[in-house]
Amino acid sequence: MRPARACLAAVLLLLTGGAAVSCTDAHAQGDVTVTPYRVQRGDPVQVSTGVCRGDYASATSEAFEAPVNMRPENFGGLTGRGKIKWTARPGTYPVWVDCDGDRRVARGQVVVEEPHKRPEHWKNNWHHQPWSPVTAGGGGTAKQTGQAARTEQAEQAEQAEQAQSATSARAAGADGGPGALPLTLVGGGAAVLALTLVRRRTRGAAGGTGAEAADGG
Amino acid sequence: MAAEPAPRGRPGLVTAAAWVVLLLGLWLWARDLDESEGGGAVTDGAAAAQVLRAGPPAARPLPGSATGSAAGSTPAGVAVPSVGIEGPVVSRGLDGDGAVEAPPFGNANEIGWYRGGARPGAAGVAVFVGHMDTRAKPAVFYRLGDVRPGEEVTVTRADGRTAVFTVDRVETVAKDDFDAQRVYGQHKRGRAEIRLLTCGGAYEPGERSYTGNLVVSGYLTRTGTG
Repeated sequence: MRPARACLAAVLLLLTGGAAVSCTDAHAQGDVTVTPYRVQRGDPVQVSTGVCRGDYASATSEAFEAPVNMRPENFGGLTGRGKIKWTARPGTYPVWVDCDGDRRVARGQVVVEEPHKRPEHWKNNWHHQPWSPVTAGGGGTAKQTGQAARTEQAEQAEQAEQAQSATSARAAGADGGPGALPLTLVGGGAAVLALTLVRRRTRGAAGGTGAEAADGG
Repeated sequence: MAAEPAPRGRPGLVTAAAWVVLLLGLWLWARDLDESEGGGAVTDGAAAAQVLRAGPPAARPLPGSATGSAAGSTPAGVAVPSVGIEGPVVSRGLDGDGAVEAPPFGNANEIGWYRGGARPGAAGVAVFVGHMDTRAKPAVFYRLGDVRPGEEVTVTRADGRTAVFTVDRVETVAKDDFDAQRVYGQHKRGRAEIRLLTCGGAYEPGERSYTGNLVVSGYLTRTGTG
């Protein structure tokens, strides 16, 4: 179970722009992964582990500004974000994870580098791929029919589509969303088939008179 | 009587026509389902995505992929002619949350380039951030949501070279369900790619922010010296 979880943790780290750890590397390094592995003072870091069974863990290290609270992530392990303290000196620091009360269940490490080394190691810039959404709006146009309205519209695309299908014939005429025309055709075809079936039955039961009467309409 | 064949023939014709219409409808329906499912698989986690299915071939990336080298390869301006976006570029880093810092609201016409990423036109992902609006009015990326796959983004570099990217994806990603690799990571190995980011989704006055990010992705298809 443990290797599998560590593996998943490594995959998550890769996905979130983390260190290039293969599954075996992650396991060999320990049960705690710090991303990026090489940091400088003040850097944000992400800590992950797959060894805890509960929904909460905290990671402590002398290099961290404060203990990192870790919560479940989609992949099944726990992850949290923290920061390297500004006073951290260059060196290798152990990182301990306490699983929901159990002290020091897992261990990993993080390497704090000299600040001037940054340009070299930024060449592998995937270490420093951003991981958060940007804040790039003040809301001044939110009430206008600007982008906000349009993206909202996109979010409700499914609902709109369903509504459009419901108003079958009209929606199909007015260039409509996908689904409107096929539904109309299927509905119409089925209705006509049902009608002819009913007419045949009534004709079969009541003889020629019923059929002639139906033909008139 | 002569009237007798007619009632038999006409219902038969009607039935056949009804079957044709029914089957045609079912076929169209199935095709629609196929398409929406295909899109859904790719857009998982995103509100909506428009994807370019068959675009022009990717151009060879310009040299100087590593940041820190070739001073002239930094971007000076970004333009998306199809929607009238054009603005000067300023160099930006990461904020404390791990997002690319947008330019200050006071300079809402400026576009921020993430200096930790690739240089535009070089292999990797060049990331740009611009405001959609300020508290009062539209900003430089206000019309970013109008960009459609297939349209072009032109980046002018400080050395005078231009890198032209073809947009292959436009999507809104919720902040609550943010896939950093899809937003900031390379979509295809070896390509020179570009990302233009701004705010998207609905505006939440309490949070003073939008609920998502609008992400326009493109890849290098031409370079020039103009």
